[in-house]
Amino acid sequence: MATLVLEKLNLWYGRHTHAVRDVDLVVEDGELCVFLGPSGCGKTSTLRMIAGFVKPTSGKIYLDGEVINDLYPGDRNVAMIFQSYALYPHLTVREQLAFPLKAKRTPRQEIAQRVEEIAHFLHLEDFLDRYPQELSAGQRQRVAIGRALIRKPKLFLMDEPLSQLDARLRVEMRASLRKLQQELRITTIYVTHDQTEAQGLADKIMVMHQGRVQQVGKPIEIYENPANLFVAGFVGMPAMNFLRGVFLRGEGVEFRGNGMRIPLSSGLGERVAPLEGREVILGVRPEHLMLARGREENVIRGEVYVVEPQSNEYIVDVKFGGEIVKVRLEKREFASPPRPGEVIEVTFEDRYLYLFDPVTEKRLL
Amino acid sequence: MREETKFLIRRAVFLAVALGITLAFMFPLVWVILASLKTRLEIFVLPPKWIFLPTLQNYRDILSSDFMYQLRNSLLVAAISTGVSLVFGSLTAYGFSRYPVRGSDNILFWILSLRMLPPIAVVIPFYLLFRSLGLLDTTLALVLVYCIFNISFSIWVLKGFFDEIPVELEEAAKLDGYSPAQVFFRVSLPLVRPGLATTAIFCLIQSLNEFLVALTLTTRKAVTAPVGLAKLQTFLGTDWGRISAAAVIFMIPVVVFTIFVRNELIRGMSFGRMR
Repeated sequence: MATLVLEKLNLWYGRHTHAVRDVDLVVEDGELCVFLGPSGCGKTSTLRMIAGFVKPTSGKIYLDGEVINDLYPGDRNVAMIFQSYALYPHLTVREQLAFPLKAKRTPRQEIAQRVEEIAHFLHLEDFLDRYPQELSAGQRQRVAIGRALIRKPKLFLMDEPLSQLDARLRVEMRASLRKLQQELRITTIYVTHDQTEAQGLADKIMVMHQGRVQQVGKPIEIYENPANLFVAGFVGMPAMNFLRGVFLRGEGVEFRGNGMRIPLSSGLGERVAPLEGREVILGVRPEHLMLARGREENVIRGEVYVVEPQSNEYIVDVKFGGEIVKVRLEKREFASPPRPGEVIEVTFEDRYLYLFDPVTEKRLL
Repeated sequence: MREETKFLIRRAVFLAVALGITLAFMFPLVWVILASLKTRLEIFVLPPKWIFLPTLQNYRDILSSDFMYQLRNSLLVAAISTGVSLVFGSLTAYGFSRYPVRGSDNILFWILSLRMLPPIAVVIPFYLLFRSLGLLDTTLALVLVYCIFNISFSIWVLKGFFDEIPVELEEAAKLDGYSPAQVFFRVSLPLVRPGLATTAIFCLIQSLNEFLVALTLTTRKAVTAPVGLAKLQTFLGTDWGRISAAAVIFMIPVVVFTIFVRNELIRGMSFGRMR
């Protein structure tokens, strides 16, 4: 059980690559914190600094109030599950599980007993004498988890642990990982580029991009209140629609951009008044758009361009002036599937509108 | 033509070619073994006799001659130089494979270039060197020279094997509480066992077969088997029966060792498929 604190963490690879920039983070005891970001964003580098494989160029890492920057990885009492599982090909499952205990010169009897326990816990009893090559992907994953759990670490690190599994197993393992972590209450850092995983698992998400922390918060906060353009675009499937344009006041306030205009509701018009005449990026999520059914405010009117039928909904690309807007619409709203070329009108509620500064990319509204 | 017939023909041609190649390679070996069991006269009979009453006289002669002592020298030199090469080779290769070394490409090439030297070019300097050290006609001198050649070879082969080990395996072991030295001995080294076997065989063969340096640096005490074998050709004539018997005995250690590490060798060929 432990609290992890990162303070102004920086990492340079050589003189030209600034991989991690001024990362500050607090992970509370028993929390599961997901590092989320595209590849090369610095999330894995940050994890590797916590594990002790690379030394931070500057900044401090505290585990339970103690600075661990200079501790050897093995002295940090941290366990890790690698993307490739990193199972030793020359050891049987039993030996893999015993390996961390042997390092600490645990008495043989205790090793045997704890291996039995963990094998029982993870349903590995029948595979104890097999080699990793003889196991399925899911079994290997469980062995990796077992090897990490067996020495009761203070902190659990997971580097994209589900990425090698097929889609179905991934969803299954996601749930069992979450259950496991909640049962054991081990502070956990989980690195992934998959936002579905992040949303499903995390107590707290840290979104990273180009080495910088973009936002830290609960999954729902990240989704509902993205701090900037990057977070807004990265979290959500399909991604948020962005439209570049300006607010102009005519009869009411409207948003004008590349060959398109959106008449805004009076309430929204008032809220955007201070931004009139300024170029902004307007964002609206595909799932927040619905059929207008005669409404005239906040309406996007365009031609259906592409339709992707899903199991219970359509993802419709709407050609809106010079832009494409993605819309998620439930199938039951339609008598027959929308056809390309058809004109469609969709609208959004006032609270689902996001505005960003095109230069600083900060959230304006 | 029918598909099956085509397949059968292709298969037959393939087998015939494979058989031909095998026979071509095996023929000298068979010839030597047969010659070692023949009398002096039978060896020269034309056409060669394939069926004859085998004699062990050649072996009796060889077993009671200096050759056994020379063979002992050979095995001693080969075993020590192979062992030393494996130890230094694996440590050096691991260092180059896992740690950033400034100018490592150049250093590695320089190491390899030692092996490109034609032995004839260095034999005289070596002779002078060992003469001034008082090491002429000693096993130590041969061990030192063979190590020079074998270490550079084992560094190159083993580096390739170490490069294949995923770094995560070592990182996992470090997190599990093993020191860098323990990681090397308990994780990395066991995983390159096929590499060690391959390297050992090549070093062993190289040291056992080496002729030129051994001929130059030894006179009596430290003479090795290949030199001794050559010395069986005297001005009184060449006793092919005894030479053949000596050659057969000389082959045994390598064959035995190869059979011993056979499984590792096969795994060495399928290396790189572990995850």
